[in-house]
Amino acid sequence: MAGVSVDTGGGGGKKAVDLQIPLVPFIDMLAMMITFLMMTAVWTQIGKLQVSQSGGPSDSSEPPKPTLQLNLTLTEQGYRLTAGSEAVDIGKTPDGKFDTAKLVEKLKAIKKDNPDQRAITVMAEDSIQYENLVLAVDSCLEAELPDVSVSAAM
Amino acid sequence: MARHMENVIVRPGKRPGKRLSRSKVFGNKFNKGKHATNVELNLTSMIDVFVLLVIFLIQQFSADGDLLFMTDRIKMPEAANYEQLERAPVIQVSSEDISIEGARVAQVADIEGEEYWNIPALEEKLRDQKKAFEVVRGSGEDFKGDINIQADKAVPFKIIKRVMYSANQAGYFNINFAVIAGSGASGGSAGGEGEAAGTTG
Repeated sequence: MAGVSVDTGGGGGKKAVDLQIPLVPFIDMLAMMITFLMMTAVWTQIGKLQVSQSGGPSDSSEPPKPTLQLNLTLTEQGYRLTAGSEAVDIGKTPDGKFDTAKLVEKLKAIKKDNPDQRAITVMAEDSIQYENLVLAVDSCLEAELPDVSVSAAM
Repeated sequence: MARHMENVIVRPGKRPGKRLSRSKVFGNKFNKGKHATNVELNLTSMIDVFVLLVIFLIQQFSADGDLLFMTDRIKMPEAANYEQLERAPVIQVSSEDISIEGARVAQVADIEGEEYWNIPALEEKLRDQKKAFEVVRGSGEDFKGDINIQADKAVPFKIIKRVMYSANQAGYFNINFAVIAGSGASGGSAGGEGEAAGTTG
């Protein structure tokens, strides 16, 4: 039988003091745990980005503070960020991709000037792909604007 | 007599002559049987490996289980600033069809040409889900209106907005986009049209 002998010394005594730790049940238990955990393991980490549709009820109990009307529009040309009466166009990168790094930078600058700002409305044209919409929402969340509403571009 | 028999009964096999068996060079070849053949399994290192495996797998373990059914038709986008996904009805949007909880409700090709925003079959199914929730849970728990949208990253917003509108009409206001944990917006620029053409093809 597999086991580990622990010699506790005391060679002069009459009683045997050797102790066998039974390893076989321990190995069985580990093997069963490995089987169970491998079957139930979740290999893909999935999360969610919470958005609301523009015009839907808000779930926050606090009354909204008067803040800036912040809109982000996704068009074929790139992003168009409107903060109150000011509008900024963020074009695509030379390889035809949306410039999320610049968008995050602009949103963080707006957040710095307006610390109470939480809401932003993301609008997209019909042809914009879902991946780009998700990246725009992700950028808003990165810039600490958690109340993201999604709407269709007019 | 017994001593005599001991000399007679010998183990079968090659037997060298007396002179060869005494040889320092060749004598060892005929002494195989004298070595101990019992080999102890090295259990300590095996248990170490098992324990490491168990620790690694416990880290991967999630009590929530798989909330979404992963399919190769839907390649979800990545995001970095995500929250923990919760149990809610799942609308799956692939480039071909729209399903709710695995049951197909509409074909993308059919709804693309329609003028109105809502998808009647989807809205009806969602209303049924809401009614079922209210019957099962009763007045004990408030209906939060959570819904998970699991969509392919190449699906155009035209389809997504209709799905969202239908959910809104059925009373689901808290819309969650299911994403894969990744680099997201902080990882660089978003995918362009060229890349999208590759994923749809």
